[in-house]
Amino acid sequence: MFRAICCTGNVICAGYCYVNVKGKQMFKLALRNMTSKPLRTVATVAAVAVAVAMIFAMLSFSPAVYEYIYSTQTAASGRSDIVISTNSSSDRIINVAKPLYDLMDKDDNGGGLIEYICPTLSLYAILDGEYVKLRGFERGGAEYLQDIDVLQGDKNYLDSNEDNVVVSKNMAERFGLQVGDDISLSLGNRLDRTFYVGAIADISGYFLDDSPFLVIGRIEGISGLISGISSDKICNEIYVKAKAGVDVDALLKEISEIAQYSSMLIKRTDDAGYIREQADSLSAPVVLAGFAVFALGIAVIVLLFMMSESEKISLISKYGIVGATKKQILGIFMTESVIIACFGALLGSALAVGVFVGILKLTLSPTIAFSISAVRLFGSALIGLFSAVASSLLPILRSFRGTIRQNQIDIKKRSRFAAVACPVMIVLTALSVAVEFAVPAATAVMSVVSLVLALSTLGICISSVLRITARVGAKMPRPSAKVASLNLRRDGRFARSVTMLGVGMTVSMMLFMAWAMTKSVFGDYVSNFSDMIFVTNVQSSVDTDKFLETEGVDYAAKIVWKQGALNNGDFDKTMNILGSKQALNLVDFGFVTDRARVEELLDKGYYASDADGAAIPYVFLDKALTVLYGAGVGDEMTLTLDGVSSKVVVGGILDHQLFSGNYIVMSEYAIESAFGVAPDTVVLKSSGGNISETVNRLRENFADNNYYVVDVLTAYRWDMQSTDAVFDLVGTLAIVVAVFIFAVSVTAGMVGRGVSDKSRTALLNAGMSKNSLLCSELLEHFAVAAVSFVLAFVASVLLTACLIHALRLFGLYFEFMYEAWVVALVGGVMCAAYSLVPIAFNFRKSYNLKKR
Amino acid sequence: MKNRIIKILSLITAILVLTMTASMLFACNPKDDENERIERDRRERTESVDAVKEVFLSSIEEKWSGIESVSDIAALEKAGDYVVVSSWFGLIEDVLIDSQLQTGKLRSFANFMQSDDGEKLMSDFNENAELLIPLLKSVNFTATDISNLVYDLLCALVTDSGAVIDSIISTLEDVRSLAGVTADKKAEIGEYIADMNAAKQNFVPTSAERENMLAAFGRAKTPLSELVSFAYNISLGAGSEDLFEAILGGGEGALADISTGEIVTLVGTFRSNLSDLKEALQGDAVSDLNRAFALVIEKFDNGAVPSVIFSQILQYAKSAYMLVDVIPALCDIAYAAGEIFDSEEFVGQLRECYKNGLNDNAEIANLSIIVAKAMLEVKETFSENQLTEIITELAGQSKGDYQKSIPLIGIDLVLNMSNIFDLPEDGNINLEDVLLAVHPEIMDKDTVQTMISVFLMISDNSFEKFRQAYNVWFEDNKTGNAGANGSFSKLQYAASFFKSFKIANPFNEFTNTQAWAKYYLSEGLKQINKTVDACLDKTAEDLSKFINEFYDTNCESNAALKTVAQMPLFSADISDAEFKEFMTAVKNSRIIGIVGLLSQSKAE
Repeated sequence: MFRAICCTGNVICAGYCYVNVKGKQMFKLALRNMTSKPLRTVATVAAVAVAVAMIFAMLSFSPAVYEYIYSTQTAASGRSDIVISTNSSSDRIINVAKPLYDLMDKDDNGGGLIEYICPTLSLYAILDGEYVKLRGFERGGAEYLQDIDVLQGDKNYLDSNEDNVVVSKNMAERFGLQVGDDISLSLGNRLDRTFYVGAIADISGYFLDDSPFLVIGRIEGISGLISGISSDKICNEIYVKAKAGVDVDALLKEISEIAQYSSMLIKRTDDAGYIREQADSLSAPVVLAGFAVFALGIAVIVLLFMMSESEKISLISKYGIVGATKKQILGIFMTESVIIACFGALLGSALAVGVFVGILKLTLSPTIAFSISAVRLFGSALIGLFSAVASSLLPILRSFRGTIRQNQIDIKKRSRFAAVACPVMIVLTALSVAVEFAVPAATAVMSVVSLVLALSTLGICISSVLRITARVGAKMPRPSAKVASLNLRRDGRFARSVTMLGVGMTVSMMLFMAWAMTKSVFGDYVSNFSDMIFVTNVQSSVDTDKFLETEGVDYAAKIVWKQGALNNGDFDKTMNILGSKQALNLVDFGFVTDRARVEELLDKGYYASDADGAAIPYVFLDKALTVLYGAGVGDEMTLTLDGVSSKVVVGGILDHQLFSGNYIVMSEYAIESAFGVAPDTVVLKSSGGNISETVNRLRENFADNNYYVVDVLTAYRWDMQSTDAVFDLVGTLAIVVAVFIFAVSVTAGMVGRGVSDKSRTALLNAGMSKNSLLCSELLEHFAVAAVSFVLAFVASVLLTACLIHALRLFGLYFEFMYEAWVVALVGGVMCAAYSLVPIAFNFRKSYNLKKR
Repeated sequence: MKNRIIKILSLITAILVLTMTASMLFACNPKDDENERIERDRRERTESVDAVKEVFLSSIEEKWSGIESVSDIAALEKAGDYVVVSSWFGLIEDVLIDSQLQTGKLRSFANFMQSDDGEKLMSDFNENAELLIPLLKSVNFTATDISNLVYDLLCALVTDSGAVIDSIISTLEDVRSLAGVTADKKAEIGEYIADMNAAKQNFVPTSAERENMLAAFGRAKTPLSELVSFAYNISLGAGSEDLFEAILGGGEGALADISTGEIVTLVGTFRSNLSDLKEALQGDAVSDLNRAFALVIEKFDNGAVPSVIFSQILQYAKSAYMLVDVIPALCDIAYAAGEIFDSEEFVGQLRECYKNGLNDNAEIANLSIIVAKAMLEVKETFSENQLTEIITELAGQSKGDYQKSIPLIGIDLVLNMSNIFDLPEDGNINLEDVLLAVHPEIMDKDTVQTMISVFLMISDNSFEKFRQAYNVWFEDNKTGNAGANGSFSKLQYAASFFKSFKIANPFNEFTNTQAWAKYYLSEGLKQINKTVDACLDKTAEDLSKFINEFYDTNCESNAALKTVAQMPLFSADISDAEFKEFMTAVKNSRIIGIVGLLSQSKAE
């Protein structure tokens, strides 16, 4: 009876509304719909906003990482185009030769080719037992390449006295420095100089590469550390800025022809290709996981709009009763959806920029100006908008399928979609995975397909698993369990919640796995070098036996340790070159090709000459290249090192995680002969004892030689510090996504719970105790959380494998790795938190015996 | 539910507001921070310089440290000296505090001065003021520091010397008027006051003079900085010694592993520094410097500056004054001569020769070959007319001031030294032979003698010593102690150099000592200048003759120079007989003097 009165009342209201349903009345009606459930409207707008932000973050991640890597890699060279620098076979100090100055005045039209020349003197000096990098400029030239953003003091002090320096705020914190403090820097035992902190700078410009700590000063002051002579005419690097419009490669060639620089390394400062490779390799795992986040974002929008499905269908039926046409009904709800979607998209755009840039500033760098792509922002907003509007059409279309009566009494035909889609998706996923694992050539591509299918399968099937679980739970004797079981099966909001939480948890696990993977694969191999010491800044003629006289040093090998570009037509990769047969003794390589054969060919150095009579050097690659590109023994490739290219032939295949497989082993003689590059590093091994003490002894013994002695772990720690920021970014994004997903899931659940107030009241009225009801809700949440956790955990194993395979598309090869603790921790925390929602939000308080 | 959400939002808002309020309340005003830092900085600078002052004063007299009041001063034995020295150091103190020297550097300076090494160095400095440079070097003062300080000190001397003297007089008056001061002490202080009043008349510039001098300093500031920096860097010496060792010393020192190319680079930097110095002394720079130096010397170089530091600075100013005209030309010539080291091949040969060490004969022989090659490089760079013009110009600029004649006279003497090579080794040297010039038709013996006398007078600072001896005698004479203290005999000894200029003094040194001394100080100086001016013309002519022979292909010395330059470097020891034979060839090239000078510098 009561219900009939209410329905009649609704019909009358709808009828009244219909009378006014024309033109702008449609807008008022849509607005009324939105304001009648303010919480739901806000939650929907927020969810659209969050989804847009997540989509934007994923689309912008890779470009942001590129910008960061670019800024840090070019921190030293800044605005310049070309750098002339010393190397192991050249003099260690140079000056700016007159022919170079002449290029400032010469070109065909009488104008100059060079805008400015910036000589610098860079040394590694010791401050309180730690290495710092000392970099000197000419007077007035410190900001030629980069601006110095001063936090304290005055950078003009650099010009006012040659012993004033600028340090970074990190260094100031590390050594407890303030403006005006003095620091004593030494080069070996004989020469030391005192410098004075004139200013403390922000981590920008030169200081983006602050590992080891950078000290900016004047050449005149620093040169005293080399020889006791103070002069601003000595340098070891010369940066050249070409005038606008000048062909930089042609200028580089002209500079190479200057006799004084014939033995120097001359190259462009903006090696964009190498930077792109580095950025891609760091961001690859997240880019792949980002697809899942992308899909999740859309799914969240769809699911949220589906929350109000029943109500919408009921309302549509009322409109139908009073005579509204389908077109008018569509108009009203489209208006509502567009308004919500627009607000959501706008808010999401603002949130996206603010939150993402905020995260970049917090994790990568607070001073780099990260560019915000309007296209990506607009695209993200558009995707969110479109998804929201499209999702809002689903209930409308469904209502059009049913009769008014069916819609009125909310008779739902149990959808057969899940029943059909589930097995189909499972089969498709299984097939895709089978092809992925069985067909190596298709592994990379199929892994992406498997990734998508697996996530989709999870999304489609998880609600069915929940229902099955609920049925099992119904067998439990406790009334709260039976009630929970019934609700789980009947109430559609649990299906939505488990889908959202399950897929969300899986995506979060994937992001955390991407973080764990990124950190470990870029750093794991370093621990193999815990007993090694690098000695650089050596001349190629150095006698390695001298190092063996130092206590603690057992083995010394001169080696070329540089980077070069390897190209075979299918790929063009930057490789780390280990130029010495001794490399086999330094690293515990696995040998796909027999070790004896590898050693034999390394001794030989060269392949038999080619048709032109030139001897072709042997190179030895990692099996990753075999897996990724099918590289094999006997393949000819081109290797470019320090601007010189040579044909090389693959002599054998090795196996090691070193540099993620991007390394080449070659004989030092072959390198010197083919590329004119002499060994530039001595690698020492120290067994037993404290490696720091051995390093200190070496520094003492070779104090006069200005060698740079550092244990490998420290050297790589410096190397890794710039990429650590990227790891932090990945981790932060993973946390943010997890939190957002969780928040959206909880909010959606809370909003959906509002619909079932009546049934809870009825239960209480029927005699169920509040505790029992609370227990029932706890069980509901626990079931959702548990099913999500279990399925997400299982899916994460497969998804991790797919992710690793998919990295091959970026030229990265890794063996399967899985950090179960990471996954368990993430899932466990989300599961526990979701289960405790009824207690955290004090559901018990809202239980009322009578309806208000 | 709705209420719960509203409550949560309200709580979050309240927390945010509280946090922001707290931040606002506790955040420091950055401007206050900066003012505080400046204040703290100034305090530290003052404390550091005060500490240096204490060390300085106690190095003169132990009892001079810890003086805080007028009564403390009155209790000192040499109260007057204390007031004078302390007040002048106060001027230096103010300059240091207001200077651009980093506070950390002043702190390091103070710490070093308070150490045992620093105290020793300070006491050594008080005995030999030429240790000023090593003293400053030991506390890592840079060339920029020195050039800024020199400028600031000179300006302070001009602007504040009056105030310092006034302060001295005022303090002395306070001491004299203190109760309990003995009559003798009062009299002694009275004399100091009288001296100071006299100094005020003679020493303190008028406002017009002050303006003039400051304007001259302002114009000369940049070239002065360049000159001082260059001189300081050269005087530091460490780098050049190591470089020399690396090239010629057989592989020792910090540059032992340096490559030949790197040596060429380092030598190139020396040459570039010469070029920069010359650039800085273009246009009016030399005349600006001359003017500034002349004004300072004229005003303050009368023995009235009772501060060892200022006195030493004046000495440096006088040395610079002597050389400033010739520096640009010297830079050009040295740059051209250094061209021989711009060759890795030649430097490599040198290193090879000296790898295993050589005896003195071989080293001198190689040095001769190097000098010969360098002179040929100069010949390639400059024409005869150009060099002759330089000589003529320098001779003109040097007239009227004997001090400025030293470069030309020195060069000519060195070139004429070749004749000395043939002198008997048994020690029986005939003075006539020593005075025999290469071109006797130009340089008669009297002229040579005059040149030698001028050279010795300037290098020994004889005139200044005579002036100081006179001041001491004058003070002693007032109290009747001239004879007892030996100041009269010291005055006589100091005046002995006037004899070589054959100056007829109308006054009797015994009966009218003051007039006799004053005659030397005024008229004697004029006559010396006149004699030197006459000598300069011949010196310029003699040098022009040398230059002519240098370029004359028919001349024996030209051929000899080429022969020496083309000789291979010696890579093994040579005997005395071989050396004598070699040097006979060198003698005809006229470069023996230069070789001898360089050889002596290396030995030192």
